[in-house]
Amino acid sequence: MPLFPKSMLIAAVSVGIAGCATAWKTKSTFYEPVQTVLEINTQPPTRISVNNRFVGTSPLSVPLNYEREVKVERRRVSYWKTEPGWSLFLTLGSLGLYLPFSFIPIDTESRFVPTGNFHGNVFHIGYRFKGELLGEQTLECHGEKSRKIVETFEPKN
Amino acid sequence: MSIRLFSILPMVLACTVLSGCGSVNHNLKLKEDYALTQDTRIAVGKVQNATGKSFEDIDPEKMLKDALTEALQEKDLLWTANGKPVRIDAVIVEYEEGNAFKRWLLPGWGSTVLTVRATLREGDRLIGEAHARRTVSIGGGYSIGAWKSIFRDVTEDLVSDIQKKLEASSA
Repeated sequence: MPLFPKSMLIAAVSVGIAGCATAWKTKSTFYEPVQTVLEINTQPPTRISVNNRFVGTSPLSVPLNYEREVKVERRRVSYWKTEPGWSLFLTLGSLGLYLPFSFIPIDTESRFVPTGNFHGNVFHIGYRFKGELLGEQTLECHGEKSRKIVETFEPKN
Repeated sequence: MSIRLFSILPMVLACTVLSGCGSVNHNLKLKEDYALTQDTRIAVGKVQNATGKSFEDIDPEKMLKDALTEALQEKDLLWTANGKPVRIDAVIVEYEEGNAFKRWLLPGWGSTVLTVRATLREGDRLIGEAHARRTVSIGGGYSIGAWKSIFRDVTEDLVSDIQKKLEASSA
């Protein structure tokens, strides 16, 4: 008879992976940089400013930098969950002695969850033609890869 | 065959417990339309502790910054006013000092853990994101000091990813 029947080992691994974990707890939050590329096309071509800083003449693409809040969540899990290969090796290597202890949730597992909050994600776009302010708009970004603005202005003179 | 296997396994296990082992994972993702060039050099920017914990005896931000500078210097990738600078900013999101005695007693208990998330920027442009995590979860005497050496290991992972991208772009 084999020392570890196959079915017993499979059952042990399944229990270890599935169970023996505590609930997720928020440990901290941090802000990570995000960038949205803003593509602007106007008729006629205008001088573009973002937050009162001249960035170029349209058509252009300009990177908008801001930050996204990310929550660090952690929970305690058994070693089967984080290192199933090592757990199996230790169980076999210790001739089964490690098995009952292996289900104690002593290792940690982390995940990073965006909270949906942003910082510095509101941008004021200004359009100027021959020194004259043709228009202004406020743009709020929420982690998009890119945004497009197409505007047509009627110069006053 | 099985008798031989079961006599070897405890020996391998003993060696493992005496030395130190854990998990390693790291990756670097550059923007699709961006490639590092041969003259790219890396400048170390801001390092931030976002673990939610403060450490009395050690300064993990300084340890990471120093280790990153050293790892870049070793690979001749540190920006020193020559070449095209790319700035790396790093956030320590998880750091557990761990305990060598605990992990000797029971693998997984008292693990030393370091997780770092980093961003790469060229000027204003965000060009890539990196992630590196290491754990030392098994080991005894030889894993004493892992709380310190893990910084070197994690930064070496980050830098080796950058170097691979550099080599790939020049090939």
